[in-house]
Parts: sequence; structure tokens; C-alpha cells
Amino acid sequence: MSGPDITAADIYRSMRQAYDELIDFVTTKEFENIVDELYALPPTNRPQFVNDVILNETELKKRGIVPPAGILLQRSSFGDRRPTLFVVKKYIPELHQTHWQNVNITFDNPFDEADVPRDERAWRPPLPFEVQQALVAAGADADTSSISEEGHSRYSSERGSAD
Amino acid sequence: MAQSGFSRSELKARTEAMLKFTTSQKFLDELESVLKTPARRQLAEASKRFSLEAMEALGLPIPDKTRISSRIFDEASGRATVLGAKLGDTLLINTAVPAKGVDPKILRSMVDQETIVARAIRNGWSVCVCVGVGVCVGVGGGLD
Repeated sequence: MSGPDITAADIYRSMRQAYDELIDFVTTKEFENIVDELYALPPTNRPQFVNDVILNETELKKRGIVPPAGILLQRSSFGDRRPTLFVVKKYIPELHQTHWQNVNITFDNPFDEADVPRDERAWRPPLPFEVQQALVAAGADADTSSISEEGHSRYSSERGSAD
Repeated sequence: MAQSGFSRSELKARTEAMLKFTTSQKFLDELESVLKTPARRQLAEASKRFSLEAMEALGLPIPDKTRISSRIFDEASGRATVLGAKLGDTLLINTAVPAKGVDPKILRSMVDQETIVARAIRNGWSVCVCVGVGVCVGVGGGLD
């Protein structure tokens, strides 16, 4: 630990407090409504909704979402290529960022557990989030490193032996 | 949460299980080892140290449906919204979400491995631990 006076218990408390703030926010009726609005759309339409509404302060205000200070709404991308949509995130205090920097609650499209790897493929460099969104919008396989011209992934054909 | 069926109490429980896991001294020690590894080798090091088998070998109780992976966040494109504050800088990359039925060739052309690696190294990536499917609670740390 780089901060000699910072203990694991300190880190836990900072993260717990930040999570409590995130939970307070995502369980407001207004936020639940926008999540319902998102998931009512076909999965391939959701990335556009994220860009047009969830990342749009005006649209958020129209829906009565009260903006707590320090909470971020962002896109992100995982090395395991799961079809993620957006994330609600909060940094913990800088003093306690000796190991972890933030806590977050992430919203994904549903996916088959077997289709998203947990092995070393989870540690590939994540795709740019623009590409991740494009793939979700196209309904393409999440493992994009090997998309064929037919739109099938090499991962799909390898899955039987790989997982 | 209405759509996903996650209530406040369930989110509390999930986050608590995940925090106990990720703030345990053993886990923090593993993370510190990854953070001290030179940047270009960090993903490989993380892959070894954070495999579920390695975690089990440490005797850490792994919460159900845990996934540990690399991750990047949209910190700079301007599409990240800081609630209660002004939007960020102008878009650096204004890639519209393409319509359904986009030619997979176009997608493939966007997925250039060298660019991905270079960008990830330039911008840094994180270790992310998630517990659960659909709504994922995670923690991210910097690896840049």
C-alpha cells in the first residue's frame, strides 16, 4: 500500500460510503423509470438511447432526475467483451485511492454466461466504447476481435473447446 | 430496480459481498503487485493473479457470479456526464451508433487491434470486479 497510514478498513469504508450514495441514486423512482425506458427498447436500440438520453443532461432533467454531485454517467468497455450499456460511477476520496479508484453500478444488455469468457480472454485490451456500442447496436457477437464477413465470430466456433 | 429486479437491499447485499472480497488484505496485496508491474505487462500479470483459480488458491471467498476483467471508462470524449456539472470537452471521437444491419466489414475495420492496444496503453485501463449479471456492481482501479 502506497499510503502507509491508509488501511484496508479505510478503503472499505470509503467504498462503502460511495456505494451507498450510488444505491441511493439508482433506486430513486426517476432513475428506475429511465432504466425501465431503456430496457423496454429492443437490445440493439439501447446504445442510441444511452447516447441520446442517459448521457444528455437536458433529457435527464426532463425526466426529473436530480443530479447528485460527483456521480458520473459514462460509457465503458470490458476486456471480456460483455455487451455493456452504461455505468453509474463515483470516485472514492483521493486519499484512499491507494488501490481502487472508484465504485460503480453497471448496466448491461442480457447475455449468456457461457458466451462471455472468464479466462485470460477477460484481460484483452478493452474495445473502444464507440466500437462496443456499435457492436451492440448491430446485434453482433460481443467477441469482435474475430468477426467474419458472415458476421459470425471465431469465438463462437471455438467455444465448445475453450469453455 | 424495477426492470432488472434489483432492490435497494439486494444492491446493498451484492456490494457488501463484493467489498469484503475486494478490500480483503489478500486481494489488495495481489492488486498492489499488479499495479507495480510495468504497464505493458500489467494485463498479463492481472490475468494470472486474478484468475478464479488463483483467487481460490488464496482462500478468498469469491462472491457468486464474480467476473474480474480489464475495463476502460469514457473519461474524455465529452459523452461522459458529470451530474450537476457542465458537460466535458468537445467530442474527440464522434462515432454515431450505427443502424442495425451494419456491414460486419465496417465493424471489423473499426476493430483494429493495434489501435486498441495503443489507446488502452495511452489512456490506461482498470481492473474491474463485478458481481452479478445485468446490473453489475464493480470496482475499478487504475493501471496507467
